[in-house]
Amino acid sequence: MTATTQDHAHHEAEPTGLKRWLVTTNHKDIGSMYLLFSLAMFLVGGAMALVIRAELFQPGLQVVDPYFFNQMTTMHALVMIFGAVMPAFTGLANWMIPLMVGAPDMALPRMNNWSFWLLPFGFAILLSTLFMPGGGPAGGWTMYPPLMLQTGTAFPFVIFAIHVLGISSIMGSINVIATILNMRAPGMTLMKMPLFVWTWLITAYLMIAVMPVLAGAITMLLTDQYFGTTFFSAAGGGDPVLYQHIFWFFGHPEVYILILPAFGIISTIIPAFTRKPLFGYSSMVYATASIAFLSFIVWAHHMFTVGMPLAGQLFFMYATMLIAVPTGVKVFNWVATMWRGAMTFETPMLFALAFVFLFTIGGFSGLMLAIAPADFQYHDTYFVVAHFHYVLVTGAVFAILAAAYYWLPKWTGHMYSERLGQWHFWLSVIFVNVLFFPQHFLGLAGMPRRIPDYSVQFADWNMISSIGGFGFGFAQLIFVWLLYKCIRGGQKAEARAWEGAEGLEWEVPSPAPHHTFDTPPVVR
Amino acid sequence: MSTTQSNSAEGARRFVLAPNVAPNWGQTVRVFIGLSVVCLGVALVLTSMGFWPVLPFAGLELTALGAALYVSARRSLDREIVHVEGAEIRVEKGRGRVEKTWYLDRAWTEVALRQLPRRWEHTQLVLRSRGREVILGEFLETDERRSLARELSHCIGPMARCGTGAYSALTGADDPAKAIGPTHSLGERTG
Repeated sequence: MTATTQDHAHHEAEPTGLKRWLVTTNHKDIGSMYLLFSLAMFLVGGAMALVIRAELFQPGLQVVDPYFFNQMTTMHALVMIFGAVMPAFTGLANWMIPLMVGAPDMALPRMNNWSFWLLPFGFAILLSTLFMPGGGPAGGWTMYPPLMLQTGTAFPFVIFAIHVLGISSIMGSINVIATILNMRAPGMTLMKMPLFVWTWLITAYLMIAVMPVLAGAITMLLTDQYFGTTFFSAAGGGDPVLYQHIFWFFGHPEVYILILPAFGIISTIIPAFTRKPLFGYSSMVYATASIAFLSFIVWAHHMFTVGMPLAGQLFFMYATMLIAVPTGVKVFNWVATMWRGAMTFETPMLFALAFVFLFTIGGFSGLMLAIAPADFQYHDTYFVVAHFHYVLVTGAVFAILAAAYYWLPKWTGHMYSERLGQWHFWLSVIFVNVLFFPQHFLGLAGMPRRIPDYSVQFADWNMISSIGGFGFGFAQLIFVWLLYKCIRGGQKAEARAWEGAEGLEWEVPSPAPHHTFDTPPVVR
Repeated sequence: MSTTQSNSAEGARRFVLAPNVAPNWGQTVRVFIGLSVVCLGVALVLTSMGFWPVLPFAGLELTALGAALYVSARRSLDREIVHVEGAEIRVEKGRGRVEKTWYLDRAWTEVALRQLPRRWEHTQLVLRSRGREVILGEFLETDERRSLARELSHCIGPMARCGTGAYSALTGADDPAKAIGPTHSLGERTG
């Protein structure tokens, strides 16, 4: 008896045009659509941020009226979280997880198509609320009642849009879990999976665990508004503070949903450009799982000021501080990986290094916020704004940019322009600090967040911050131009585009063929 | 994924077609139970506090997850086996066990690779014999289906190639399987 595996000599002519993108079930097509959608939303959310920074350039009301300013702060957050960062990670998961685990596609390709196409639909609804009578939502992305219930016609549309985006996220997560558990190449045990796959598995777990809580919470807002329930109305025996508890039970794991895949990306890129294996692979996996577990028991640190018992404050304070331990493990492992490595500083590595340094700053300000008595001073000030932007912009967004530069050769088959990449990096890293670092000073000096006007003592740092904002925003146009050039042509990329890159995704040609791994590779 | 096995002593050939998935069912169940405990636990606690709308969402979501894991894991058991031996071709299909069997006359069996009408759809690999059709390898990728068609047509013999002489005359190729174009079936080419 002999056994032979089929060879693959030809390629089928793939469908082209709009229908290809509308009905595609190919993970690479869907991944590309997620990433391009995310880029578009990044620019939309960025434009909203520039409206905010233009208004805050100097004291007084110059550019927009306060109600529209509040709509901008709310929509900026919703667009960036649900439209830019989450879809970017899902796009990366779609592109890279099947390649990394040696699977031909995602486990449920049709569901994958639906989960993407729900996104433009959801965002069309959400963004259209800005043109409705009474304007868009203005109560902040946290949608606290009773403030949120004062939204005009837009209210049910916002709730519906968030439900749609939630369904999209859940379907994406289900697909990731099914792919990782059921589609791995023979020999690829869980502890042989690349860190990016591990972090996504844990992220998907978190999403599945907390999304019903968000769905339930916003449904209760809807029934309170239209169906006479009083879940969050003190007048009917409800409690608005309980909404905050429920929201943040979702919201804090959500923060980790936004950062864990970034850890996976950085753990992939740093070894490639230091030409050394990742230091402490197992400890990285356990640290990620620990962070995920702790994310369920720290939610109330977002609401120390609502009036909690002392024991509650102590519990949430210490639990929050505990997160520094597994996060520290990660940072030390990245540094140990770099130690005595043959490092080179191409654009992906630069963004990864900036991530390690600047995300750690965000982590330290997070530790300051975790101290309950100190938080009474910092709460709802620009210090909080600075903290979460260091985590989400120089953390999540920088990791997404690092990933884009790292895998662009695999996606397009072309090397990007390193010169433009370096310009993009250096301008971004300078302006992002000009933008957000002064906000620490503003917050410590007492400037509240979500205000269109402020006292004159905050004028100087706000002006500097706004200059940084515009600089950072326009620097991103370099990336758009670089991306356009790279898709159109450029130096041909080899299968292993980076000398030190490891993993199954580098075993296939660049660009990765439309169908990969018909025959599963064997992992030893 | 497709593999072929041949027994040269008896001249028999067996093609085994299986989807490229290798799940660990025990691991999948453990992950699902772990998720369900957390998700339902949270939903039940919130329900006990009066926030019952969380519970149906948790139930719906876990049902969807369970169904997705079950469906994708079950696919790993799909098998299609083509036995080519003597004057007969036997095709067996099933999930975990043989559910359906076809017996085809080898001398009157044609291998066709046809492009489905909508461009974005896959090609379809068909065994045709005396007006009957058996579709094979729907879970295979396009290239793999083409490669299998080539090997099957070699193995089955002249009728599968729809007349070697006619093929060579039409295409100038000695090997009719090589003449399978990107959008034409063997059947279509030979009329």
